[in-house]
Formats: sequence, structure tokens, C-alpha cells
Amino acid sequence: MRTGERGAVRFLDPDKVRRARIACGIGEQTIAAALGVSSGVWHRLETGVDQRFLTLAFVRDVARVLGCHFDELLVEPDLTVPEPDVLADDDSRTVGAVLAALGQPAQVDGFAVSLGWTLERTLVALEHLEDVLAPTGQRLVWDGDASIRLSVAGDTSGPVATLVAASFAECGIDLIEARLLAAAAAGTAPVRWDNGVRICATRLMAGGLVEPGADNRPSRPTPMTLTETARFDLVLD
Amino acid sequence: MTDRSLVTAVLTNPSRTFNRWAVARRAHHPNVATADVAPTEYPTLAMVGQALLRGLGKDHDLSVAKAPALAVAAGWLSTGEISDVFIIDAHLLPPNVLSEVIVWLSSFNVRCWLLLSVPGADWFDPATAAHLQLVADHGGETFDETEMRSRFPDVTRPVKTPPARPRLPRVDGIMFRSTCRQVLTDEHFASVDAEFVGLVREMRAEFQAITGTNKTRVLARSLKARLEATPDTEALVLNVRAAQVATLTSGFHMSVNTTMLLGAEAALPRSGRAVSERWWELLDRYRDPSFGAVAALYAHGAFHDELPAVTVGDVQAPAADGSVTVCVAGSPVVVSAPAARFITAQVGFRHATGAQDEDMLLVSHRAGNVRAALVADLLCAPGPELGIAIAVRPVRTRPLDAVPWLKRYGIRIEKLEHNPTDIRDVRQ
Repeated sequence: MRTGERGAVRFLDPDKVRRARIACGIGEQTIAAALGVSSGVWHRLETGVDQRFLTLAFVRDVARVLGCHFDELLVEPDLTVPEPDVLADDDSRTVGAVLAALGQPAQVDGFAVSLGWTLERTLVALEHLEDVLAPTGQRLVWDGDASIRLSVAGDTSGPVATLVAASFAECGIDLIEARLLAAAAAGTAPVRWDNGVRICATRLMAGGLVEPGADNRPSRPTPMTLTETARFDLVLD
Repeated sequence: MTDRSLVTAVLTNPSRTFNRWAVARRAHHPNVATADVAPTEYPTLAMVGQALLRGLGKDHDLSVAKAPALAVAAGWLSTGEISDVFIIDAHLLPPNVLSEVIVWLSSFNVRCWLLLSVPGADWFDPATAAHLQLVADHGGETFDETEMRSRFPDVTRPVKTPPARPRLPRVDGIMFRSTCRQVLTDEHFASVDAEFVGLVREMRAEFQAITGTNKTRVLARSLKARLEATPDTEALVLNVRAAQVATLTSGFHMSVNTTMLLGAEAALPRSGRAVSERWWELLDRYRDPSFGAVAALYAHGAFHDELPAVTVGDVQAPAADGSVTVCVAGSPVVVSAPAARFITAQVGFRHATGAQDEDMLLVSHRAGNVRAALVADLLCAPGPELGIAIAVRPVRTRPLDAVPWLKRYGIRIEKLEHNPTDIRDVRQ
């Protein structure tokens, strides 16, 4: 197998390859020997079972042996343009507007009833809501399977934040994080601001313990502030 | 001649009901003990001492030393907790033995009640008349059953149950308070939060007052003392979490491995458990006060290998609050009230055996002094016998220093270093 060049080709059309080989009157063993692979490998390629080993150079060699351009052996690209789902888009905007006006989590089934929609229509609208919300800096957050709410894109209540918070709850924080937390409690900027400190700061932010300061450039240390929950926990406010 | 008030005869008809009533008085009046001497051909004062130990609730199936019963009973009486002793079926004891009993109990300022169960409560029976004459000779008086019952009525005391603390969340200190707010009921959270905030403020003030060198070690010692005194798991968790918050805002970082903390809490002996595991009540079941005395000294910080050298004169008289100060290897060890009675009883026992101030406080039946190994035996015996772990084998010659002690509980303390992130520096 040739692996000298990077960039695996995954869309070789097995039917086109087989037809080209038969048209040339070459057996599987012959072409396999010419390409330097076993007949089993070639058979798997030709039947489409396994094409993971393919490289661009190998496809070029195949095309050379079969006397054609390698483009003729690839799968036809799907150039059809999907039609925009105008109805779903409108529904998504409606859902987004209602959620924004509501300002609190809502149950999906109750939501569908209040809009007079079926549950399926509501779910389709929610599927498209993410695209509609992206330009507005908001996102849809699912709390469990049945409850939804709108949140700002940088909110820390996602699954990563949950995991980081669970890690803090179980294992606590390390010394660097403790320094950052103490600095945040004091309202001062950390002295050192290298990669390790930046990672710890990100973890603390993801865990919902600190919030970034006004100047949030990653290249320089800025004072962070404790979140409301962290102030309750640490400063006893 | 003894004090008039220290001997009383009670003349009654033979009645099992009355005897049971008399034995049950200790449950209503803790200052009362009974001595029910088994019928024997040659009763002696020592037998009365043995019966009194049984009446005091001593369990003879537990480990015992080969000490004379009368001296051991004298030790327990010297604590001053017993004011009245009922001699049940006193008519079975000869007057000369009864006379010795009266004199012996009077020396501890204990009133002796002779329960004379005679058919028909006959005053003129010759044997009864001899006993009554003995009482009269000692300046005592004679009661009937009704009068005695009126002196010792039933007393019901409400059972004191300590306030139950809810199971606290096993989360790190940095989010302990908010998690409590989420998972506890409003009532439980209010009580836990008040205690938590109080602890944090108290510890913060204590930690921020630490100056000089070896601040981390000083803080570790302070924390160890606090944690060692915690009675149960929830108290330990609350103190550790409060310490985490207090240290973070005092220039230190305290990391806690919660699994190790809970494991060590369950496995390692800690003097704070004396309250929750009722050490002193259970150790009172031992016939000999030496078990309780050794445990009391060890639990209050004395090293077990220094205890054999403690003399009777090293024990000072009990203070007003009931505590006793013992000079162990030149340094005073203050034993608090519930445990101090064992030391007082041990001193009383040694005095009863004729010991002077320069004699050893702890003795074995083989020699006048003991070795550290025997002290270790005394410390470890309650483990299998009573189910309380005062010390585990091998008993350390010297207790662990604070830092490794905390490490066994999964606790590590580091300094946040002198930089502007140190909140204490910023505040200054």
C-alpha cells in the first residue's frame, strides 16, 4: 500500500472502477500486482467494502493502469442546491420571538399547545431556530428533553460548563486556580499570565466561578470578578 | 461514732417487689447504688465491695485487673458521685461486718441504708434487735418502707437527643454553600448556613492572625486541633469546607481529597468521637478505673509512652468545673469534666491501696509500675470489647505531626505565595 502522500480519497466509485477494469480486459490479480497490493485489498476496494487506505497517489496510479483520468473514477459530486424551507424558517422566527418575550424556560409540549401547533411542527421549528438565532448572538438551550429557553451565546450553562462545575465540586481547584480565584475576590489582576494561567482562567469561567473583566484580550492579564454564586460561596455575601 | 445522718435502717417485710424497687433506684437517682451481697457463710467487707461494684453497673465480663474489689470500689466512691448506698438483705450480714461497712462508707461521706427484710417487720426479733442496736450505736435512725419510698420517688428525665444535622453535600468548599442552598430544605439550610458562616469567620480571623515563620505549619496545627475535636462525619465535613473557604481568603490554598477524607474519618480514631460514641459512658462499665483514666489522658493529648511515669502526686485536685489537670512529663494536660472522673477514681483507688504521692498512678498486679505496652493494652482493649476505637495498634509512640495528620485525611495546605493575588496583602 502506498502511503507516501497525505490526503485520503474516500469517494472512489467502485462501479466505475470495476467497469473500467473489465473494459481494459484486466483481471483483479493482474491489476493488484501492477499496483503492488494483494488481490484481497483490491477486491475490497472494488466492492466498496474498505477504501480507508486510499491516497491520492494510489488513485492516480489506478487511473494510469486503467488508462483514464482519475476524475472519471470518482463519485459524482452532489451539486443540487437544497431549497430553503420557508415555512420552517417562519415558524422558527415565531418560536424565537415568543421565547424571547417569555424570558423564562418553557415546556415544549405546552409551547406547542399555546401556539396551536402540533408537536412535530414545533420540533421542526426548534431544529431551525439555532440558525435563525445565530446572527442575534443568542442560542437555544435544552434543559433535559422537554424544557427550552433562550440564552446568550457565551452562557456557561452548557454541557461543558456542567462538566467543569462537576469537576470542581468533586476534585476542587488547583493552586493556580486558587490564586486566580483569590485575585478575583480581591479585584486584582493575576501577576503571571502564561498559557497555564489562561487555561485555568478559562476553566474557572467555564465552571461559573469567575467572569471576565472589561478588557478581555487573551494576551494580557485583566482583573476577573467573582460570579454571584462564587461570591455567595467564598465571600459569604 | 459516725455522723448521725450517714446510716439508716429500713425495717420491712421480705418482699421481692421492694428489693426490685431498691435496685431500680439507680435509674431514677444516679447518686444511688445498691450492694446485694449473695448469701454466704462468712461474709466480709470485701464481698460488700464486690457487690457494690456490681451495683455501680460494672461489667465483670470485660477485662479486669487483679485489684482488690474493696480498693476499686473505694476508688469509684472517691469521685463523690454516690451519696447513698442500699445494702439489700442487710439482715444476712453479721453486725461486725455491717459496722465495718458503715464506717467504710462514712469515710466517703456516703449514707448507708440497711434494708432489713424480716418477717412481720418484727422489731423484737433478737437478730433484728442486734442490727437496730448497731444502727443506734452509730447514731442512725430507723425508717419503714413507706418512708423510704417517699425519700426516693420515681424521677422521669426527658431523653436528651442532640439536634440532628442533615447529611451535607460531599462537594468541595468552593461551592459548598451554594450546593447546600440547592439540596437542603430551607430549615436545614438556615441552621447549616448559620453554623458554616460562623465557622468561616472564626477561622478566617484565626488564620489571618498567624504571623511569623512557618505559617503553614501553624495553620495546620490549628486546623488539626479543630478537626480532631469534631464528633461525627457531618461536623468534620462542615469544618473542612469552612476551612477551605477561610484559607482561600487568608492567603492559603487547602485542597481536599474527599474520598480520603471520608475514608479516614471512618477508619482512624479521633478524640472528638468521645461525645458521639459515648466513650465515657461505655468506659464506665469497666470495673477498673485505669481503662478510663488512660483513655482520658490519651484523648486529651498525653503521649501513651509517658503515662507510666505519671505519679499520684502529678494529679491535681479537681477544678470547679470538674476538670482535672495532670502533669505528664513536665507539661500539664487538662482533662475535661466527663473524662476527669476516671482519673479521680484512679487516684482514689491508689490511695485505697496505700499509695503515696510519689507512687505511680498506673500499676499492674505484678509490679509497682507499668510499661508503655500495658498502657497500649489498656487503650486498645475497648476496641473489641466495647466497639469504640480510642487507639489502634500499633499505638504510636508520638502522635503524628499536624501536616502528615492532615495528609492522612486527604488535606494539603499550600501558601498562595507573596504576590498581589494574595488577598491578605491586597487588603493591607
